Amino acid sequence: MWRDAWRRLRKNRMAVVCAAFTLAMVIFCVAGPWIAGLFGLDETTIDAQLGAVSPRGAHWLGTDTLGRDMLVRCMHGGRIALLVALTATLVALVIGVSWGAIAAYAGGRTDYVMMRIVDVLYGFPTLVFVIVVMATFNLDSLVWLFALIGAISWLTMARLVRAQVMSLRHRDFVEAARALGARPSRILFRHIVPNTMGVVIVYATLSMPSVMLYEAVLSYLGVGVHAPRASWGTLVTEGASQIIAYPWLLYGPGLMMATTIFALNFFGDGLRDALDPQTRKD
Amino acid sequence: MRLAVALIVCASCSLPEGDYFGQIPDVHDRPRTLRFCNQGEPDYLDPALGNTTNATPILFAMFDGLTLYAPDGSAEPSLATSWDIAPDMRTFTFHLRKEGRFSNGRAIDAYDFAYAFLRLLDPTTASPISDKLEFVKNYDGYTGNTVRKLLHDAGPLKAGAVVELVDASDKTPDTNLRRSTHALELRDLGAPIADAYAHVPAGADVELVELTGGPVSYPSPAGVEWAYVFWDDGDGHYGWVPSADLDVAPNDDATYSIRAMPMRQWPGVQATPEVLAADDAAPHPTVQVKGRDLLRLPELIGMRIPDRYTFVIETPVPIPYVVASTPSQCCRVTPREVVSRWPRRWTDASHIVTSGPMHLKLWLEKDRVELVRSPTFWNQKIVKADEVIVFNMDDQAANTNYYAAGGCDAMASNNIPTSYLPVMNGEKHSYKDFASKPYNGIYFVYLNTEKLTNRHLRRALAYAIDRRPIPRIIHKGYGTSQVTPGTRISDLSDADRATCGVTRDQPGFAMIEAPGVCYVPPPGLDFDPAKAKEELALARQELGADFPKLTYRYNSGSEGHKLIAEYLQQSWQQVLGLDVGLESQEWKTFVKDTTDGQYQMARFGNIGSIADTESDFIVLFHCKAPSNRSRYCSPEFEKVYAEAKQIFDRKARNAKLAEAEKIMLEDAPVIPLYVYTQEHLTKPYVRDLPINFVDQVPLYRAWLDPDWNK
Amino acid sequence: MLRLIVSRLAGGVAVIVAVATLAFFLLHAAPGGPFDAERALPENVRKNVEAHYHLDEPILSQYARYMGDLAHGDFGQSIKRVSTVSEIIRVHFPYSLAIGVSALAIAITFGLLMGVIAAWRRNTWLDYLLMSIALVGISIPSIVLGPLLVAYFSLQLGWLPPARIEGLSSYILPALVLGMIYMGTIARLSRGAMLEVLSQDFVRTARAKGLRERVVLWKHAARLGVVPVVTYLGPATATLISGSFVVEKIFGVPGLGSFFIESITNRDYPLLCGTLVFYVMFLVVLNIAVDIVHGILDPRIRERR
Repeated sequence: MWRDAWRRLRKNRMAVVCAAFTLAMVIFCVAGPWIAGLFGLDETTIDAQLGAVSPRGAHWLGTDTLGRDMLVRCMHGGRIALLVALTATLVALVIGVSWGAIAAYAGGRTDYVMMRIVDVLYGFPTLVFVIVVMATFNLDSLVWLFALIGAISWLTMARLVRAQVMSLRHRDFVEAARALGARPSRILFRHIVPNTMGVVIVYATLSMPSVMLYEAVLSYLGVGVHAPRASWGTLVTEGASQIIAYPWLLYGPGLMMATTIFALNFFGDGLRDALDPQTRKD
Repeated sequence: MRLAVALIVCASCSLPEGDYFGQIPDVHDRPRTLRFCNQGEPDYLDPALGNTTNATPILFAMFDGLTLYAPDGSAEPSLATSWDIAPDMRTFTFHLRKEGRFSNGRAIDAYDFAYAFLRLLDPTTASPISDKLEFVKNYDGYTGNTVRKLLHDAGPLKAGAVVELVDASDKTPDTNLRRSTHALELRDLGAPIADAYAHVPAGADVELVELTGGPVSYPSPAGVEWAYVFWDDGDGHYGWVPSADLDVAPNDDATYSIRAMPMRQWPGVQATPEVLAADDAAPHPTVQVKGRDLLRLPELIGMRIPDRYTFVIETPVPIPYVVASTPSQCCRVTPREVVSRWPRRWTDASHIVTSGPMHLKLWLEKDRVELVRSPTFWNQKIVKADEVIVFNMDDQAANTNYYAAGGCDAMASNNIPTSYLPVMNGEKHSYKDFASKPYNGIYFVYLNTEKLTNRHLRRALAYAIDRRPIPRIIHKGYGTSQVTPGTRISDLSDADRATCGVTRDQPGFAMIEAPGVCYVPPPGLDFDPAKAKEELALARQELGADFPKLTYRYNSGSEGHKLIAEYLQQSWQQVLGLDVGLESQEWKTFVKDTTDGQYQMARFGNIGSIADTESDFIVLFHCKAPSNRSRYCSPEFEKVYAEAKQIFDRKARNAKLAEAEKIMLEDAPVIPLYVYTQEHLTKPYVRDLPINFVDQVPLYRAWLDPDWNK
Repeated sequence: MLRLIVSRLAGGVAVIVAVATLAFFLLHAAPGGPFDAERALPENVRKNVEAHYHLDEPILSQYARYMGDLAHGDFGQSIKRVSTVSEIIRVHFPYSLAIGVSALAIAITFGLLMGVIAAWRRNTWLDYLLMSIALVGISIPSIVLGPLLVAYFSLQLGWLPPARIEGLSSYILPALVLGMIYMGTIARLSRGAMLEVLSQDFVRTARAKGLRERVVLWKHAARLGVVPVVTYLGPATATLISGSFVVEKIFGVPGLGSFFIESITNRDYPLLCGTLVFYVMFLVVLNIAVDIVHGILDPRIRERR
């Protein structure tokens, strides 16, 4: 099955281009700062005399108000943003999908309780929770950042998967598997869940921009990335407030973030098509 | 995507190139209506509760006081026609005019000012700004509910003595608690029972607030003593009842420990400084009395009413800034009859009674407040606006965009996003309707002296900062190493420079506190890398292995705080080779931690409500000040500061204060960074809307000239 | 059906109680109180104001007092404002509702249209174009899109007001900014789901029976294709109509979202709990509605209930 999927994925030109682009962006963000360092550019060196200048000469994306090179800041910012997107996706996949699938398949009281827990978490004042956590434990490491982002990113996923599974659980192929005496967990995770992957992949790639911006909110509260370091989320948020005077502060991070999200989404479409068990039959 | 790119390109060219920022609407149809973009939503429209710069321009248009803010920001006579200041600077006598009226037609007299003071200080009001009256006698005792009048002789103490409860007030049953065996009918003073507006059931607790016949209270109607009481039924009610109705005093037999207040706290006492000093030094033994011997009454506050149109303020020590403070919320009159009926909701447009130039028509929260000219205001000639609409949006960009589209005629100060500033006031282009002026505020870094105990380390950190690039980074302000803001000496008028005794080429700032009174702050520890390194070496020597790991804190939500933090971090790294961590915190957490002393270094700002360094700036470093976040407690500073407080001559007093500030700056509990400026946008047709140092804008004085360009 | 609704409403009450409790204790655990400010209050004054709002009582008795009031439908008194929490909701919810509903209308109409057409013309230029538009919608955050639209349509062209609600035209920009993300999400979700539906047997059967393509697409396939969209819309609608802080801030709209954020920064305990409970009430009702709609759209979902 996986080999088939891989073959179909390779045939999808759009998906391949997008995957290549995403990979390039990852390499760019990981290796870029090191290369820039060779030219004497780094993320935190301030040149207050220089101030904010538009893209020119050594500064391809311009500099910010403190005279720091925007390109290098964007590359560093990309590392955090990509990691955050990856975490959120993984958590949503693991917790969200299993939660929703189990609730739907078990049904009855289990389903009822599990979904009420999701409701409570929807209403959970995350912002207040972050303030309390920061004050009580002062654990400002990236681990907390990822934990908090993961905590909110799986709720809608769980609801989506639950609805899909409820619609799938009496389909013929499921009944067939059941008649053959397959264990419930096997039916659920081998037969039903793969059929929800379309919605799952689409939603996972969709939620990336909001997750990246949520990271910026958390950073402001002191969780995660600390000044003078930056992430795409913080750069875009700050750039948006500066568009009148220094629009290039938004151009760089904004374009990098948007193109990456584009690529990931179209790659997600390709992946969805490749994994789609229905198209497999074609 | 193409759409997005097109939009981005347009956004960057969207600030127009013309003389003025945005559109200039035709105002022929509303020459007497000012539309004002406020900084944000006011918290309360009650002068005893409103505490933000968003509330004050509205409050000061709605309520009259002893004085009003003049266009230049100083105190200008209003309900007080004139005042006398006693030579010892402890008694201030205000002569009131008889024409003052509330909007319901009632005459305003000295009793209304006594009520304003009572409201601010009475614990049942729970006013967060009662410290506006910090200077009057028994301020602490009244807000703390510990001061009492002794009603009967007790041991060495005579009836009428001003005494202090010794045991903690919150453990003591309240002496002012009253009950009635029948229902109480709350009403206006002297009104018949039929006019009662609230009915307290028999046996319910009420708090006695005031009795008629006292030195600051209304005379008893027809010789019968009445009591003003507070009944806490949710929102609460106040009202008058004949005091005979309060026939139960639950705590009459409870025992209290008291001792006499120092005589300097006794209102109405005439004594020379020598007598007061002798009394301070004398012992004040503790005495046991019963609840029936004690009452908390407004006459214990430092005020007196010799006649209906004379109001006297008394302070325990010489205070030079009492008159300067009178235009603030401390001394604005509010209508007792309305507040009594709806203590929380009296400012609803349907209930409110005002005393000032404008009357409230509408308050839609987070959107706007509409004010109209008050026909009962005595001084119609200073009121040029028939209508003032104050828009209260919280977002700076929303305000500025609204101004650009012609939605409002003027903006409150510092309401423009910093990112607009380089375009508005840039090197290439600036708008004629934009103005940047000196402002009574300062931005600094507190160094917690309890955590950074080493003086050399603090001095090293201070010496390492070059303030010159700061205005470039944040697009406003002027770098400074002094803790008192002011106008740049180079920008002062020649007359003001003569007052201050400075020359044009002198660097730094000076604050004009009153006509003929100037404060020139001493220079602080300015940028000096060599000295910084020297001090650091000394610190390392003294601290050895205890050299702390340094962190700097700022509150999130402002790009400017973050940029400054990053700049400071880099400066300390480059000059001293110190790695300083940066921590950002949510605002309330930040306030709490810094107040509790749980920090090393933190950014802060301070904005003075009046131009007076003693009341608003130097006080931050006084050992006992509630806002002393650097926990600075220097005996040397305290000694000079206390000496200054006893000097009557303002010039000599200021010289002494500068000496104290110098001592403090040398100890470096603070690193001043920059003096605030205020940025304004005002359409060219707006007239008489001045910008002044203390940023008090009298909105009601403004009018529009539709033919401005002819 | 009735039994389902009753049992879900009972669960809803439990959810509301749980959320109110969590919010109450969390906010009280957060450092600082309503009266901590830049200029610290003198100790006496602080005691007076705290006593006034019963903040000096033990936390459990404050909690009991709050839950007691809540049970009587009383949201309590805002600590930092004159108004009661109920008044704030009554006056300011309509603004959030108006913007939220307009945004939803934009999002659902265009989102579904784009999604279904893209799935139908899968992997053609039309598909890529529509999906690119959807992606622009989700990848440009409100904080960027809002100022851009204001700069262009209000400041540059002068067509629409830049801030405040002064008439119907004032709703256009906020609704657009708020709706874009949801439009993009709906378009992508419905495309994905439609693709799955279109490849199912009953669609092939319908097509084989010679039904017209438009009928197959909109009557048979779209019905199932919107299942994930409906699921997504439950919580999304609750969030939308209870007020978006960012959009309200950008456009100076006096909606509920700004009160919610303010209640956190002010530590205004009753206001936070009140707005949160109000939001969860919507969430619960909408999620029940979602499950009912699911049953109607796809009878297989109902079967085992």
